[in-house]
Amino acid sequence: MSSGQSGTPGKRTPFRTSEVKFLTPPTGWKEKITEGAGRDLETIQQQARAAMQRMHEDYLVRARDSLAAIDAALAAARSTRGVQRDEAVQSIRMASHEMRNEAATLGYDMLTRIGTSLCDRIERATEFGEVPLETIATHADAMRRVIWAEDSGRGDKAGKPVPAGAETPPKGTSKA
Amino acid sequence: MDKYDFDKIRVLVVDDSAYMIRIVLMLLNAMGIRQIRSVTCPADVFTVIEEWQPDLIIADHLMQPLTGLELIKLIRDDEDCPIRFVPIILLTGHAKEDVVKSARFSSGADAVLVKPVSAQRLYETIVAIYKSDRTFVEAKGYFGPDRRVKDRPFEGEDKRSLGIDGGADPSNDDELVFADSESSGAGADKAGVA
Repeated sequence: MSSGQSGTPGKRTPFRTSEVKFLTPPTGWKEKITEGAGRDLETIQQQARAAMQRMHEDYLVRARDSLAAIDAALAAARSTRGVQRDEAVQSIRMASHEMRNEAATLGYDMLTRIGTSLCDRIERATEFGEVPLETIATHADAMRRVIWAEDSGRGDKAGKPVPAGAETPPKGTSKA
Repeated sequence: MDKYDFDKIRVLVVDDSAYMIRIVLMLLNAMGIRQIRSVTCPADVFTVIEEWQPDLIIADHLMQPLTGLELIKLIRDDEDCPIRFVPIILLTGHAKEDVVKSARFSSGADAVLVKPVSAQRLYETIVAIYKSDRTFVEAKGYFGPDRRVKDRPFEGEDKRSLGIDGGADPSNDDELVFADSESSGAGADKAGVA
């Protein structure tokens, strides 16, 4: 008789109880936790919000780093073919993915949209062919302009406080 | 209000996104957790386990070269692993029910959280695992926390001795139970469990 867990939803696979053992896991790690001490949930949420505010303050530095990584990978993609080109494009996707996730969390709407667009185009191209490098370059230029505008106080985010509840990244922006 | 001092526990965060690691570290720090290590390559997890033996692992699902599910299975299936029973929280960006269900029932994770993860959700999950006295199940093809989360009474006819797929022998004293990603888990010998 076959047994074991089913990998197919709805597929029922019989076990015999003699084939199943129940074990008590060690509890050493629980002994390290002290109840009644430490922080309550409200304090934890306040701390998370304060930390998110600090992340907001130096976001543009990290955005520029991500853009520099995209530029470098784009240059590499232009000068290579085959697997190396694919790897360069995937590193562009990863850098764009990082930039847009954080942008979404912190309320940089324009950078979120550009980053999402670039990620989508690369992901779709991975299935159906190669993404044109000029498409990537156009997105990188758009990111550059928005970061410049934010730096000079003319962006969509400039001067706005971190949105309420920002310790929670918005839906649909984290990595699938 | 409930409070827990997590200062002494060690937490390992595994995610190939530096941004998500930063977010999770920030949430853990907010909870007062200070002993944290992070790795961006899941293959490095085993070195950290050997050297440091974390008390809790928080792992992303979609990573290269190992997925979170594969990582958990490697930890759970290795009889020599020093932390085979370690609580593991799996993070996934998939809100699709089948992916979450598969992760929940098949991976051996203690909990599966769909991103985005808030401070409150992560805190409540860690507290729930801490308070849980869930046993582990060892069966063919599965080693991990008992996936039954509720024990509800069943009032229908007991059909377990009638035979399934022609494979049952009613004269055998062993009970037949099911591993089933829709209803019960491995070793589910009680009807109606969630």
